[in-house]
Parts: sequence; structure tokens; C-alpha cells
Amino acid sequence: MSEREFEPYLNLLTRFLRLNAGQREEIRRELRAHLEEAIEDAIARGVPRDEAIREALDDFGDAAELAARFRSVGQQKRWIMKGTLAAACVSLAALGVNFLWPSAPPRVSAFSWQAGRAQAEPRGGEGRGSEASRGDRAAMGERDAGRRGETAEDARIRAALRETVQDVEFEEQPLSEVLSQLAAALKVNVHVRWDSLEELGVARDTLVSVHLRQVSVERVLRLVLEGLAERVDYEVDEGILVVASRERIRREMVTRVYDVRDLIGSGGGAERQVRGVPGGTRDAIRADFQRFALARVAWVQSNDADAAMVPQSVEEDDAGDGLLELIYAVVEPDEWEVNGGRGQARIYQGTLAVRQTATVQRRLEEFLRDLRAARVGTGR
Amino acid sequence: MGFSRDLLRGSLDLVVLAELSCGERYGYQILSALRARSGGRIDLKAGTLYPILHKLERDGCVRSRWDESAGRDRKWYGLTEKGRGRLAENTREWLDYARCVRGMLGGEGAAVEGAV
Repeated sequence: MSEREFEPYLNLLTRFLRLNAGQREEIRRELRAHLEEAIEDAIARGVPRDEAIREALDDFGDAAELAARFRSVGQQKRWIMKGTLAAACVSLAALGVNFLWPSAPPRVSAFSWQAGRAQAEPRGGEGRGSEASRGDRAAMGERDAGRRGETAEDARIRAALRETVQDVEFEEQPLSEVLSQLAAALKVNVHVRWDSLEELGVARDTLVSVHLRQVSVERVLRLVLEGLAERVDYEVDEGILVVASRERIRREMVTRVYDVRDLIGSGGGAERQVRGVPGGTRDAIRADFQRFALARVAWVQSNDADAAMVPQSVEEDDAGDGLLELIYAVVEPDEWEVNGGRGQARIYQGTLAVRQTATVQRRLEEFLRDLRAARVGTGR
Repeated sequence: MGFSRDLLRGSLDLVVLAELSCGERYGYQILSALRARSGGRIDLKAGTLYPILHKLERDGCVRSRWDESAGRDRKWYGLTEKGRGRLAENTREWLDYARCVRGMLGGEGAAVEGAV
């Protein structure tokens, strides 16, 4: 008997198992042996082959759920956090300037970073930083931002951070002043977690000295932060540049929305060929794929080389559920409320809304990108 | 008629360990044996059993070995000392629990039992 019928299922399962290669192969081997025996017994009982295969696969169920079950038994919680929170806060202190501060005029005597100059020469060269190209970058940033789950404002802030500054110099300037300058120069709201900073012994009047040329704003930011204390970090969320310790940022929940219409819903788009798959297994695998919202699938009607292809559309609701289950099973499973964590996700009319830490959001973003890239022959 | 999933959920480890106490078994065999010994009322799905076996192995309650004789590739599971201990402990706890629940059922429980 050919093993090929259930290999796609095993492939899918293996892909979702978050174990090392040896363990994954071992499980695959064991389940394959079980499937072969179960199918043979069923056929011996008089069950038609296709039905036997389908029943045997049904006995295992959803590949993503199965993989999640292999994970959930006996996994230890990874989260530490609490012990390191104090250390994290200090970092923040260094960088945070309360965005409610009025934009103070630059103190010419103390530093040479001129806010006006930074704006006029964004690319660090005479005349090269034109408003037009800035607009293009902004537009592109916005489109990608929608797919990345950020607001247009977040995208603008990130773009601003990437701008190059000619010359930045702070000589024994209070931290709050440095951040205020930054906020004004970038036209960005900057918010500092002062409580976290104070725990680390960093305050508004902690002095900063730095002298840099031809570097991105982001680099300046990092260097200033790191110069004050270890593990300072920043995050862009909902139009605000938040400065905090790495742990504090990791802990904070942010809300992002992702446009996932291309990953769920019917009509047009990606098709995947599955050759030489008999009807019964087609149904079993199709049920799996539908649940995982792996785009529209084309099935070969027969084993003929020039067989017709049947595009299979996916019900949006089912596909939405499928995508969520896929995410819960594959993207940092422990961090979702359904698995005992704190994160939430919902799909509404082709939009995926997620409340999660910034780290998990980034993983999710990468995963969605991988999912899109994995689709074959999209013609998009 | 098979027992409801809710009822079974708390005792899956227990029945699997109990089955293994009769000797080495491979996965497919465990499912058949459980069905046979319970008159079809304990009908586990393969997707339920294998994660349990893997957890038990990770916990050190069972150990496994591959055997390719008999023309088949099979992974056999057997109880370890720790597994025997776990089985005994779980059995005690479960019987204790059953006694306790039966006690709470009072008159009802007695009436149903009498009818069986």
C-alpha cells in the first residue's frame, strides 16, 4: 500500500510540532506505523480504501490541534520577568521624556543638534532629503504598516527614527532635556516609564553626554539609553515612542490589527496542486487545509496528467477560525489566553485584531509573512 | 454506549498505565485493548492516546523501544518503576474519589446500584 496518501497530513503535523528534529521524526514514524496498521485492518474488515484512510486520519484529528496537544502536555512555563523588572525600568528612565512637556527651544550653548537642521536634511546630504521622497517612503510605510499591524503614525515614527542626523552633541545635559529635544526633532510623542526608571536610579536630571555624527536617530537613541543603564529599549505603539526597560516592554500588551483578507475568504488567489491523491484522502486533507486557512486549494480530479483542476473556496468563518487555531498552535502557544496566557485574538471581516506583547506581535507578523510566502502559484 | 469525554478526561493516564501493567504494548494495540476490555465503552481516539504516551514517557513513567521484527515498525511501551508507583497512587486516589462521590449520592446512588 502506498504511504503517500497520509504523508501530507504527517508533513503538516511535523511542521507544527515544536520539538527538535529527532523527536519530530520519531513521532512521525510512530504515527505512520499506526496509520498503516489501522488502514490495513479496516480494509481487511471490508472498508473501502479511501474511507479507511479518511477514518484513520479522523482518528487523529486536526493536525494543528494534535501538535498543540503534544506540546501542552508537560510543558514548563518559561516566563520569568518579575525578577528582572527592576533592571528593566532603569533603562527606560534614561530615554523617556514625558510627551506632555511643551517643546522647549533648543539650548544652543549645550548641544549642537539643531532640530531645524535634522528636518531639512533627512538623508544627511545636501538636497537629497526632498519632501517628495519622504512622502513616497511614508506611503510605502503605510501600506506595509497595515499588513504589519501598525498604524500609519507608527510607520511614520519608525521612518523618522531611520533618518540620519548630521551631528548630535549633548554635553552633560539632563536626560529629560535630551528626550525633549528628540521628541521635538522627530515630531514624535515620547513617553517614559518614570517609575521603572526611578527604581533603577535614573531620574529626569541624570546627565547625558554624547557626541555623534552621521548616524541614524535610532542609533543615537540606543546609544544614549545604553549609556545610562543596561537593557533599555524602546517600542513604537499606537503613535507613541515608549521608552522602557526591555523586560517592561516585553511585558506590555499592545494592540495591533492585521489585514488577513488574503489569507481567508473566498474567490481568486492562490491555488495549490495536489497530485495523485484519491478522493477520500482529498476530503480528509481538504478538511485539514480548510481549517488551517491555507488558501484555496485545487484538487486533481483523477490521476491523469491533464486532469481538471477544481478551485476550492473556503468559507470565511471557518477559515477565520482555522487561521486563529493555526496561530494559537504555532505562534508562541503559551502566550494566548486559550492556552493559559494573556493574549487575545479575534477575526472580524477579514481583519485580525490581536492584543499581545510586542515580541509576540513581531513573531506573528513573521508568521503571517511566511504563510503568505508559502502559497504556491498565487498570480498576485 | 461509550462513556462521555468529560468522565474519561480525569482518568486517561490511569487507564493507559493500567493497560500497560498487563505487559508491553504499542499504541494501536492499546486502543484495541482498551476497547475490548471495556466492552467498547472506553474508545479513545489515536489523537488522544499518543500525546498521553509521550507525556508519560517524558515523566519517566514509561519507556519505549522500537521493534522492526514481525514485518512491522512498532514502538512498544512498558511501565517503569516510577510508572508502577504512579499507577498505584492514581488507583488509590481514584478509588477514594469514587467512594467519596458514591457516598454523596446517598439514596440515589444506592437505588441505581440496586437496579444494575
